[in-house]
Amino acid sequence: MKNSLRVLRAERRWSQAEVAERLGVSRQTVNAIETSRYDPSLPLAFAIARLFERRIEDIFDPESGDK
Amino acid sequence: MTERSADLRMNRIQGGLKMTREPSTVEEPIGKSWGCSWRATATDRRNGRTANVWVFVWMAVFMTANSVVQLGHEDSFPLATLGLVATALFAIPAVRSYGRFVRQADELTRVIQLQAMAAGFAAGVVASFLEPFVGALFGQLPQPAAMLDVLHFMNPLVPMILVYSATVTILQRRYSR
Repeated sequence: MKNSLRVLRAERRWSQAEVAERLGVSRQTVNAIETSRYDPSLPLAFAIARLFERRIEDIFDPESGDK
Repeated sequence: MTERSADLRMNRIQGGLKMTREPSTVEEPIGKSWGCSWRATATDRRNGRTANVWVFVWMAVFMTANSVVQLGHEDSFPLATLGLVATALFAIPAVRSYGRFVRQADELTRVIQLQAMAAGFAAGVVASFLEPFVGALFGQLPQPAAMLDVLHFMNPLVPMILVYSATVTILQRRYSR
């Protein structure tokens, strides 16, 4: 599932480690989500949406099902 | 980290403290080496350490009890009972601490652990099914007795542990790229 996490992170000039710390996950998790290797759980998707003040569907695109 | 402490941290950073490096906005590859670049969260490190210590203690108790029984005390009912009870007893904190590690783990770590456990379990089942055939095959071949040691690798526990460890390493590598 494609997502715009990297773009949103770049807009705020946050590092992956910083986003990981704010979300309470490892940096590898953020990296894996950004590279579409891993789809986050629903609670984590909500946490990401809350962190970037967007709706989940604005960040994650369920139509692009490649993984 | 709470929202308030995160905000305080950001304020500190923006309020004049010199940043050691520009925050990276591009993809940050985690590492190139096999598995050893995996950086766990503080909770994972703490729970992982606890689980490792308990598993180590459990294995030490098992090996000690097993050695005592093997060294000519096989007929001793009290010693065999003590070995059995001690090994079973120390299994409880070891399994519970690993369970806590998995439950509280970072979600990608949890996914990796569950996939590795599934692969390890499958390897153990396959090995246990193959064990009698491998035993029959090697028993018929002319070879030094030492070659029969290969049968130890068909003990379900050995492929289980090997496949579990290999899967953790491979998946950590895959998700880190």
